[in-house]
Amino acid sequence: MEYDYENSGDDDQMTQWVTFMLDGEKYGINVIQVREVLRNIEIAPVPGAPPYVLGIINLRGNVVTVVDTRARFGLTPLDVHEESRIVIIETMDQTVGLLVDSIAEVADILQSQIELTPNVGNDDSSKYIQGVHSRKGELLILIAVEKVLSDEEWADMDMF
Amino acid sequence: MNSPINNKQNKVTLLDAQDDALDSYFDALLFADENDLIENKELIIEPVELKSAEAELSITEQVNTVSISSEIVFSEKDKDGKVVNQVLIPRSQRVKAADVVLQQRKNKPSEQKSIEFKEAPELDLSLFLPNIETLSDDKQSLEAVSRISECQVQLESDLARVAKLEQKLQQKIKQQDELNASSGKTSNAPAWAESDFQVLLFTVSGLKLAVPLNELSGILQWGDEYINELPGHASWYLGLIQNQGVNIPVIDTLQQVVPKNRWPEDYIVQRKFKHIILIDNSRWGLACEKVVEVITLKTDAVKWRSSRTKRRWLSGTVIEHMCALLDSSEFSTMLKTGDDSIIGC
Repeated sequence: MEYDYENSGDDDQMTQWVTFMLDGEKYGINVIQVREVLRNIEIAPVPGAPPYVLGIINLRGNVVTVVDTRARFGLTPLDVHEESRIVIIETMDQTVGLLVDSIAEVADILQSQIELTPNVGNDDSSKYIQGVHSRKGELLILIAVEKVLSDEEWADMDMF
Repeated sequence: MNSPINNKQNKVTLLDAQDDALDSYFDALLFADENDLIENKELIIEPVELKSAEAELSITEQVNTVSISSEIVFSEKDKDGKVVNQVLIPRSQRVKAADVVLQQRKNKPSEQKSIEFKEAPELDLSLFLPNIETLSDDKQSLEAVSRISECQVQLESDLARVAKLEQKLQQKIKQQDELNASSGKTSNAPAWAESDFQVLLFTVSGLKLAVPLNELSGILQWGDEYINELPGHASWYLGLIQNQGVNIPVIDTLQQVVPKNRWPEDYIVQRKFKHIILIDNSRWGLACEKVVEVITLKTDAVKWRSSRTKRRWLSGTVIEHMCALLDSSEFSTMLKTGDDSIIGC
């Protein structure tokens, strides 16, 4: 369904989303929460860390925990490859890196174009999906980064 | 994810599991609700079969038990007690027949004959003809005839009474039928099923399901549109499919209607879908293996469920086609609320 930009109204806010690929699907994170995107960074594993924590990186003298996004989303695992990127995000007073398969683009999306995902019962595991957006025949899954981890898990990010 | 089933042994296992699932499924359908059972019990009518005059009538009301035989045996014996003539006479004609025998005796007064009345075992004539074994003269014969006439009158009276009770019973049966019609199976059918209606039959892992055409929004071929898998969802949530600008969640139907312990072995790995049934104004897509056919059903062809405290998605069962009739609106509600208590699991 093409959006009617001329009649969208003044209250319809434009948002920008950094899009990336994971297991063949395109995801988006609000650009406000994205600090930078890194490539070819050595990740140091942390013994005893949860399965979704790949390890830590040294980001200009600061230690940043890197989350295996595939594992966190319940997708099939994939080794780091040439296209892999680490998206550094800032949220919940934390700085965390998300390992993704590849970076796609920055998408401009009007707020009204974001569809809420259909409620599928009481499954809380998918609560980090903020909405979806149909774009050029593709479906963009928009992520609420702050909900990717629970409050306790965010607090634990400092421990690594 | 959707690799075909190539192993023959797996197929057998799959079919066995399906049979078990279907058995359990229909057991659950038939005996799921205590209210159903109670209602059925209330509607039971004691069968009473009336077999004309030979039947022993036992009716719920207090009725005298009547044992009747339809024939009377007239035996004519000589003075030595040897049977020289034996006639089976219908009860309705027995008086006339007795007259004939008596007339024969009058025509031959010199012969000393005795007439013995043999009743069929069911007829206890001793109640009506005590101490009559032989008739040695006309007077005794006339008394016997008189007794037989009395017996006939009594019998006709009983038959009339039986006919009256039979009529009363028929009235009661009719009343029960009317009661069934007003509060029984038919009332559980939705409004659209009051006349003939069409349903689409489809299968999921061998289990046949039916969805009414008036609640069907469309059918998509699996693979015509890309299914976007959303992370973090249950395995029954297959993803979103875009159709006419609308994102439609697609679900694994079997996982919603069949308990997990009755899924085929390695079902998640081996499941293979070919179609998507769109219901509830294309709000949901039900993945299925095969679309069978569209059939027309009459209201009474469906065993409508009267009480749906569990499996509210199940409108009823079509025994002739061994399939379950889906209530798509309830199914949609179930998916939205995620209320496990109304899911088949």
